[in-house]
Amino acid sequence: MDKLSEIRLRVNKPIFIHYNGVYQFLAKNSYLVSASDIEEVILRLTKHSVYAYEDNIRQGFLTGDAGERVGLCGTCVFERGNILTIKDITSLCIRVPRQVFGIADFLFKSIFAQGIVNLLVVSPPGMGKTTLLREIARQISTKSTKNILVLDEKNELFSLNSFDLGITTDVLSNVDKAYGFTKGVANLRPDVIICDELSSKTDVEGANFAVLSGVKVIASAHASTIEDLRRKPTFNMLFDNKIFDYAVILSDRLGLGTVEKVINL
Amino acid sequence: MSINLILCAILVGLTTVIGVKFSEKFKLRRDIYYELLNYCTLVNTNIGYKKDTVDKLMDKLPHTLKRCFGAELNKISRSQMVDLRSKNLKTDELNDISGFFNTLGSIDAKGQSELLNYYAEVFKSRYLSAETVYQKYAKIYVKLGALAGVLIFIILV
Repeated sequence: MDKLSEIRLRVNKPIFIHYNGVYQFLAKNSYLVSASDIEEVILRLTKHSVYAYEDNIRQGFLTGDAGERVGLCGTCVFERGNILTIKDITSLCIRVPRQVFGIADFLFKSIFAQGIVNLLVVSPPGMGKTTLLREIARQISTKSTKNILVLDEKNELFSLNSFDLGITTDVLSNVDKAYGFTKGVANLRPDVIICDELSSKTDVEGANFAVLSGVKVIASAHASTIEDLRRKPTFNMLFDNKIFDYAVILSDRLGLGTVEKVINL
Repeated sequence: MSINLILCAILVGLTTVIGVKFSEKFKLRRDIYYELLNYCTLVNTNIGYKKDTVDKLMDKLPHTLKRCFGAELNKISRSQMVDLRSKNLKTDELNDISGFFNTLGSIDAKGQSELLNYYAEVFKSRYLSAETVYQKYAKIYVKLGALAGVLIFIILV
């Protein structure tokens, strides 16, 4: 199981997995995924309680008890320009989370050596950003007495005590990041806020608010290079206001979580 | 004389207990609908706020429902359909109650709430009718029980 990182289920197609760094079919000629298989997985993920997960479904994902993020693909239903739900789900992308102790060691020997700095972890999807953030949280908590607030929008960073994030870490689960940054700073008085996947303008504004409030922010964003990130209008404020001190670029060149570059922003 | 009185009291007591036992099915039916009605309100409130999953909601099932249907209702937590059986309720009533539990968690919050309101209306009307029947027949069974005791005593003595 340690080598399994992704499972893809598509109706009438064989199971496709990412195992030991390679995509491959599972029982390609003997089993095709059926619509009822997909339905069964969704029922189990929602614990037969669709109403409790409708916001997640609307955003295109569900999260398993062990932090597995399950992306949903089907037919989007819109009402007055807003997505209402995703129906007739035909594909699931199940990403298996893991905790890798020690993968953040290089940060604590370099840019965190003199103290925690504002850090942005950048990579395309599935390169180990979340795993790195998880380990950063654990190590900060272990090595200092800093209060860490994790904004876990998709319940995958922490996921029901499946992962060790340290004893001084508070987790705000299922939270909108913009809300988490502002209310977290005001109500929980964190020293460090860690959150996954800044993607919208309000996320970036939230991070900016936290940094300007004197809280260190460690976050991640999707891009292959820092130049690509600069080209995203959503992230203008991030560079204009110099929210982050450093950026770490990850790839899968030598396996998931390969550190390509550490950039002083 | 005193032995006769004691015998009469014992007989009346016994037959009254039998009468109460006979009336219990009316009480049970009333209690089931009363609890279903309350449970609808509880679930509806929960779905509008905490949104607990169905397995957690099943933990909050009231006493009588648990006692009557507990084993079968455990299936819901395992995402299985339930088919409730009880000799105290009619088939269509059991189908409605099974339907209520089988639809729990199958749709979004708005739809679920509308369904709960619908079932609450159904259960409310059944509760009111069950209460009327209970008030009417329960007393009759108890009185008949006591009367039967007196009659048996007269026949015997």
